[in-house]
Amino acid sequence: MKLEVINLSKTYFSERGEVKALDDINLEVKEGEFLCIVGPIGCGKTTLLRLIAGLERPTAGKILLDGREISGTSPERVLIFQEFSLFPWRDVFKNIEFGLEMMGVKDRKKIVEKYIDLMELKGFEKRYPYELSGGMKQKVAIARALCMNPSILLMDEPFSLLDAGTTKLLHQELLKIWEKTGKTIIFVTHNVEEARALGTRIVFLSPRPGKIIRIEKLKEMRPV
Amino acid sequence: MRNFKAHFILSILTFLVLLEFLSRIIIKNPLYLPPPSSVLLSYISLRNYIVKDILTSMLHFLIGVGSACFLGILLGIGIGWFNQIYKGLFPILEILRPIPPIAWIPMAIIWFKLTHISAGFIIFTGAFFPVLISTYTGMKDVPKILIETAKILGAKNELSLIRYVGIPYALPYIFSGIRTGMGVGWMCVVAAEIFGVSDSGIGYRLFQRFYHFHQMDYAVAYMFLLGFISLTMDALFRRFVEERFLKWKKGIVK
Repeated sequence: MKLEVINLSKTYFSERGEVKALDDINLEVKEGEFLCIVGPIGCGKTTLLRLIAGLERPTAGKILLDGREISGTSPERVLIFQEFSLFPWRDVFKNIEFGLEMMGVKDRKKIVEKYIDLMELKGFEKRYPYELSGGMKQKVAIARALCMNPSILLMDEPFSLLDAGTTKLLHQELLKIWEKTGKTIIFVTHNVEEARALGTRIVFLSPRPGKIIRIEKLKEMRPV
Repeated sequence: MRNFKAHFILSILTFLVLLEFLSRIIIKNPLYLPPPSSVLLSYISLRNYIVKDILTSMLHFLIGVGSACFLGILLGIGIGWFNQIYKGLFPILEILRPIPPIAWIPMAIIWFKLTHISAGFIIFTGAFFPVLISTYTGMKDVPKILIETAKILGAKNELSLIRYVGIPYALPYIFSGIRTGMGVGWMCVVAAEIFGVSDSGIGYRLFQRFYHFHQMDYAVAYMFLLGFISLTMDALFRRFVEERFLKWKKGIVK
């Protein structure tokens, strides 16, 4: 797996004028990396993630995954939103099952149960989202993403709506999962501390329009 | 809860006693105000009509509300989800919406003659718009983030987005539209039966018989029958449909 971002720019056009969100981003992400993208609010870091997810199209430049240009959403690049975004009418089990159902996977029960175990959600299968705390909701969202077996996990400030204690616990769990599965993770945050605690590399973006200021290498790839 | 029930019964009993007094001692004319006791007794004298009248009215109601739900939900999904359908249909629907159901009676007679369909059509004109507008609102309100989540998790086309995100999200709206539609539709039953589509039915009996012969105790008995059936249908819908399908919604099921 290799992700390449080449001369990527994104401008939003509206009646009130145009807003340049990203300016000439060049980046390469290798298999198994835990890349953190850090920048001030409004610097376009979420835009970058949405472009990689395929939710938006670049104004200029391109994004290649294993040499193929990204043209839309795909289960190989799963984005986890800041706002948890569980389907309120589905219980925990059915939320996690959603992607598998969309892909037409027949034997879903086993896979779902595996990730329920991994995220320590056992006993909560029949709960609806309104009965869960924020941290639990995000764990369900992570389980739901992981059971798609994506090659890249994209996370958009996934813990910024949680309290400090829960965030710390989820950091540990996320690192554990990263070490266990070897997934490539791109993690967006406005918090440098968080990026230092998690990532193998940090990309710093400037205020709008987002440009890469510098890249900081933190640690080697995960211990295998 | 028990306390509430006691209140409820006490309030109604007091009201009935006062009415009885008002009717017999002060007004003294059962044409203006039939005493509650004779209204209650008329249910016994009318026992041979009631079941048949209810069944006939139910038939009209089912034709009207059934077609209103079918078309209202279908169109509501269409105009709520697709902007082109909205642009094409919304203006004409907005023009039709304020026309009172009773005003459709002449057209109904010309189109469907004096048939049950004709009565059903009048009820349809009352029930259709609440269902349509609620469904439309629900589909339009689907949060963008849920649609994006579904896309990211592999929902392939508009049809699966509608099926797996749009409709489940809009379901509480659709149900509340159906409840309103059932209420309005039932209110149209009398209007739908006064122009003689059948020789039974609550509205027919109320207007063509009881009013015609000035049997006001019977008329009032049927008025309350209308109200009671509507309440019962609403309670049944809440109990068997909403509570079953909306378990996930906080606040609907206590």
